[in-house]
Amino acid sequence: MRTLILDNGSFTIKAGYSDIQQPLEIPNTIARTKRTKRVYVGDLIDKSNDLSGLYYRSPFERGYLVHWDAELAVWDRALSDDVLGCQPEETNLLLTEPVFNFRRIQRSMDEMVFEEYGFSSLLRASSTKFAALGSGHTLYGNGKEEEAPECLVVVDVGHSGTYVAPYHRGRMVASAVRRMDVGGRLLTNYLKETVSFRYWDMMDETFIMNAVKERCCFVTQDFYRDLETAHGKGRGRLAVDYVLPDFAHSKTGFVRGQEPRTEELMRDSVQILPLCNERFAVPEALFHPSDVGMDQSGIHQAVFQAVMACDQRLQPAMLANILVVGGSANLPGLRDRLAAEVQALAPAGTVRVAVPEEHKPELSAWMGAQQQLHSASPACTALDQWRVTREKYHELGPDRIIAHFDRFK
Amino acid sequence: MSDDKNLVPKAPARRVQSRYAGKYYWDKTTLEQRRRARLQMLERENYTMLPDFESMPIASDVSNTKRQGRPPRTPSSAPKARLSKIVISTADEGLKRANRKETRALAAQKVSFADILASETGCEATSHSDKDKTSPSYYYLTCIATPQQGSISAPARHFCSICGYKGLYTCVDCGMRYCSLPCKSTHVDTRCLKHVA
Repeated sequence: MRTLILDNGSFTIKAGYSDIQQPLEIPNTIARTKRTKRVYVGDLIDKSNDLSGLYYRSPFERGYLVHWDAELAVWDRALSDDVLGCQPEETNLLLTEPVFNFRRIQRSMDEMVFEEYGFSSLLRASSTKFAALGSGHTLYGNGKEEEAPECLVVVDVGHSGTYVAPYHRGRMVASAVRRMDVGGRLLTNYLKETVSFRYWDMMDETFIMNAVKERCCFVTQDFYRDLETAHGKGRGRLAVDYVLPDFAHSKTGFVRGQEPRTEELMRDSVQILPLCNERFAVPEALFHPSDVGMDQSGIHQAVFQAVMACDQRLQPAMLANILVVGGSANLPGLRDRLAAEVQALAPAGTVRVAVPEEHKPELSAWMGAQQQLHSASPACTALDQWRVTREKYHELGPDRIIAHFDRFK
Repeated sequence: MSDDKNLVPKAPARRVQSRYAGKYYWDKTTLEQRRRARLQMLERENYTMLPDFESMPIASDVSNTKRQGRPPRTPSSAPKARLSKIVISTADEGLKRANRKETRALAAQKVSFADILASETGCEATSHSDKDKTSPSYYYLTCIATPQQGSISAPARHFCSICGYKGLYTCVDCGMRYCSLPCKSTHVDTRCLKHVA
């Protein structure tokens, strides 16, 4: 019987069986093209060549699974023979949910898994929990599998927002979790807004601006120094021209100078997006949400507050084991900047921030779950005891199952 | 003299008279409204709203395997009817799930996040069995990292709306920021909200 690990994120689903190396990433939305008005579920959007003005209908609202009609459509597509080829009756499922998922949504999720799809067993936990389980390798790994450290802070910089979750002996310290609402989606929208005001109107082009953000943006180590450089004579070092796509030749566009056949691809009618200070001013919103008018602390302050909310004896160990996961952890320079900022807030302790390098940070939860299922260490065989089979679900009822998974947090 | 007071019209309450006669700076309520509207726009999934598309029910149609992604063809006899539902065609061999009545009811519900949050906090207020455990909705509401909790927060930074450098000066007519005189002239020519909007 195979085990399917399904990391149900608000941007993409990372899904794959436990015996393969890399999960598939399927967009967790229903997209509609503007010109041809066609509707594509999940990964079918890759078949379309018309990616401008995409309208997304997402099952998630503010990071929580609210619209089941869209989610069922995406799950049907993900489990279909074209993608995963899953037979739910003969599959064990590992499913992720947001930190502090609401009871009503948990009940619906369990109901869908057991009664609608009929999976053989389920283990439902937050994505930070799975990332924490597999964190030993990132924090200490020399190639062999390590157990997760006793005190650990998982910073999940995801699509809907950022959660800072401290873990002690594998269990989340719920009262010390902190959240800030700047995530990948807000960064993309901030970039869209800035660019639309200054250069071309890109307010409807979420897909393209997401690609621009992923390729051009970085986190600066010294904001004012780079701002001066971008303003003054040293512009050339930081300025980047992004060639916007004409969908005949490229789907997402490219950075001028980075594609090998750039001269061939440059036609007279290309539209260029010149980016200079937007490259680093947009990710600054992670550290200063007041830049976008949000009255919340930056990510460094959230980490500091989360650590300070833990027991005093655990704080030094927490500061030394900070793991950053999630899509926006791909931003270059984030790790060093976060380490420097948190160190400035906690000068007495040693701060160590780690971002996974052996795999992409957004896959950390999936990789953590997979590593646990295959590892030989005794901590992971414990995963089996937390699994709930379909028979047990029918026997105990939904509420007791929810209480059971609560203890796994 | 007292007659002059009645002749001179009173300025509307929300204008703040500055030293510059006849000009005014935007007051706090307007700025606050603008800030909140901007933040709401930044947190949306899509920029333009398509309420028709959002409210269209999604039907899983097993038989239309050839028509992946295309809207169903209307019969030639009927007039061009508007698309009433999104038809998602699934795997070649059919749905992997039971498609129960309860599921369809759940999928047809039009709840928003605010509804669910309200019902969760409402439930917790009345439930008395969970006194020892705190509910997820309680944690969700209280776990926001705000600057007031023990961290020093610097005042908000502003950027020039034209070029992105430090926004040191404010346009007196519309409240947007600029960094220098060249940016100010660009602003007044093309983007000043007072003249353009």
